[in-house]
Amino acid sequence: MLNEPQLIKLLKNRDKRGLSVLYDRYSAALYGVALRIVRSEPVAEDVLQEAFIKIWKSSQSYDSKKGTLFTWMLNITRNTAIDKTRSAHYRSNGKIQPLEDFVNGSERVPVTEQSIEHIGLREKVDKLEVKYRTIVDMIYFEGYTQAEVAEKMDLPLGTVKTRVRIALRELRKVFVETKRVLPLLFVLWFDMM
Amino acid sequence: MDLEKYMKSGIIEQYVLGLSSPEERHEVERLAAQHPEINEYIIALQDGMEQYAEMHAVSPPPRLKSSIMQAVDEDERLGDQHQPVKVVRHVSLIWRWGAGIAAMMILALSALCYMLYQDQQQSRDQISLLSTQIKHLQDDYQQLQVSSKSIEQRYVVLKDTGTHHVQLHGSDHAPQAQAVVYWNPQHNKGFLNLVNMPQAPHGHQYQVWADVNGKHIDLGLVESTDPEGNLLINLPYIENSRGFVITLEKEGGSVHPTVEQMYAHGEL
Repeated sequence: MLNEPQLIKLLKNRDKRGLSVLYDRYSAALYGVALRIVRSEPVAEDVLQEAFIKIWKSSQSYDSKKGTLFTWMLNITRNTAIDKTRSAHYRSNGKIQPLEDFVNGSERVPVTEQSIEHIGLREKVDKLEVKYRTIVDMIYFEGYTQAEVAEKMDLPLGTVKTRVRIALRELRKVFVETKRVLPLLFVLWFDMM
Repeated sequence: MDLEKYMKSGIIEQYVLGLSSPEERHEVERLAAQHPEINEYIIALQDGMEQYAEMHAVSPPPRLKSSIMQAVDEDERLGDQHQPVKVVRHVSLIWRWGAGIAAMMILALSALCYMLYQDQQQSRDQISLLSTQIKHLQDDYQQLQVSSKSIEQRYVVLKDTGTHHVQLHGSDHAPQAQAVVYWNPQHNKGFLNLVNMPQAPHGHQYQVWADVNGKHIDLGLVESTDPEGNLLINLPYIENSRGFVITLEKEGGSVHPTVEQMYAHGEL
């Protein structure tokens, strides 16, 4: 199992094995994000392909001090996807599908494929107040700026900024708690057997 | 700088969501490098977003991987096609220059070598010539030494008061003929000097005889050519010689003198 520093080294050395491992590990997450943004499978596939080529080509500019490989890859994928939604071609092709189908993207994946973590998370995240999640989703998956969010939701920009801050914090809490709780859950589960 | 206030301001969340302007981004990154708490907070938020993204994970179609890896290969190849052209041109320019300079240097060195070789050849020839000359001079010198010694010896004999000077007068055949025999009984040495003798006719030679108690003893054949009359010819010393005779004989000499052909004679 390759760790992060090893992967970074492979990638910077233009070793395709590194790219292959990254694909195996993160393509689902990246594809899911792309799908959530562009809401079309063919376009999402294009996005994934373009994103991986960009990842491959700009490996030299990755700086581990600024964040993990995954965050870096996520940003590349997100930006590629958001750019796609802004292209005239995309808009005119009527590829935009109803938002409802894609709101709960993880439902498209058979439940058995999802890890126990994610099932628990799903519930927790669902419990996050809608007003926070909506803002995060709009910014993260739809590429809205905070100003655009403020305009769309008819809220003061300051309120939007505050909600963004709280939303991220809350999300963070959810994941941290889940990480702490998960081992306990396992123990409980085994006990119940 | 109030760290707590900065961290509560929401700037970092915006950074994590990719909403900051370039200036704001640089500021956050700069402060993160300076303050570990900020850096940790950024990482925490990023981690949260990563997990949030993973929640939405959807497995892409399996064929997509090979398609993507191929596309990367394709892009690599296309990229390489552009770069090597530049690189090759750049390198080839350097190589061409380098080759040109190298070639010129080789030519220059070759020319130099050739010139040096030529010089060396000349020097060798000169040395060779000089060697020969030296050898000749050495030979000449040796000869001169020998001559010089011989002359000294003769001089000693001539000076000697014990040396008889025997004048040989011409005969009827050659009234002008003149020769001198230097005869030294103590040193047992004899010399002949042809002062004035007519050139011997072709096929004939002068022969010298010593008169020993009426008997003529052969003292040898001589060359008649002595224009300056300075040559001293060695004569074998015969004891009890009373006089000397020079006759003209056939080339190669005779056992007995041809008295009729007497050209010069003299008594001690």
